[in-house]
Amino acid sequence: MRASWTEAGRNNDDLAATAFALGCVLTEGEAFDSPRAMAQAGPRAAVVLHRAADEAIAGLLNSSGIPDASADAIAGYVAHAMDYQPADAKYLENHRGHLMFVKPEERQYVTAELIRDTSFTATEAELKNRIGDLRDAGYSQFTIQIVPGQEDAIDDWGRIFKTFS
Amino acid sequence: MEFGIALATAADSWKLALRAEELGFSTAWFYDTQMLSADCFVAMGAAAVKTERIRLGTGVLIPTNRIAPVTANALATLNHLAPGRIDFGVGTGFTGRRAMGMGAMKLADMEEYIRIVHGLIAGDVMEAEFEGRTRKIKFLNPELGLINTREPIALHVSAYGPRSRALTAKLGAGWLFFAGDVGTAVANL
Repeated sequence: MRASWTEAGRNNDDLAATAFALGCVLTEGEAFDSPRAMAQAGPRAAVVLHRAADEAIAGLLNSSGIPDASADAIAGYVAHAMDYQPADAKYLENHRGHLMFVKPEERQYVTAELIRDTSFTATEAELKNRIGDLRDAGYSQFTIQIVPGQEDAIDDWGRIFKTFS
Repeated sequence: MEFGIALATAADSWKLALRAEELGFSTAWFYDTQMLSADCFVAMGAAAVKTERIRLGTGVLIPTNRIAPVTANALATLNHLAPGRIDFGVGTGFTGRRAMGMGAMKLADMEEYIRIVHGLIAGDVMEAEFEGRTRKIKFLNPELGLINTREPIALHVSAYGPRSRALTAKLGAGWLFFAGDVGTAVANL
């Protein structure tokens, strides 16, 4: 982005860059696919599945890529999605719950590895490090999506935010 | 560094926006995903009334969901309720369009859309195409104070490819990026 910004004759210091993310503030020892993590960060991991299925079903660009550790799970979901009905509108089921919840039938494909690799899910200390890295790189805002039904998670992120203010 | 929240828009998203304001978050972004969640402008209107400091943004608005003068009006209406606290986040559409079986809209069409929205809010007479004909349009009664076109409304563009990033830079807009991990986010910055 900065290359485009400077090419347009602008000063990098003037670039307002916002990173959107989903994630879960884990307690010590909590698994990446714990019920909390699945509810709060699982929908972000599922986006990778939805995009892969969009590409397979309709040829739409998949800009997410396929994390190596989750290639089999993603392929499994894509095969599952090919049977969605109605056949001429598979996107309806593919995108149901998108960025909001993990569909029961896609739960088996939203693995701990996929959540780990595609979301800001970690302990509070680790998340502070990651967000600090974004700040140091030049991001001016970190935005966390709060998933419907998980509104209390905002207080977890509020604690992290306080350490940056 | 500022912190924001993003919302899969609900009719009562103002409750979470208010809590975010209490916690010191700077911005609440509302998804424009009409087949999946609630209407962003209705929800932002409620949030505008219920909050006092937090910025409220479309995150991101999909131009094909409504014609440009409607968006310009909605932004200016919100700007009346929350003066100077409104952000116009816009993108070519992923979730909202794919949920209707469509890919992204054309970047050139989004640029033209932004031009019309900005021009109308600036009080200019704009030429815009409707139903195959180009017509001149403008806000006819801004002096009545029914909407607010005075306080600035910041533009932010969701941009993933080189052409959309070039447009973001050309417009001097804020840049929005969905980050899955630090390495990818930093590499894209």
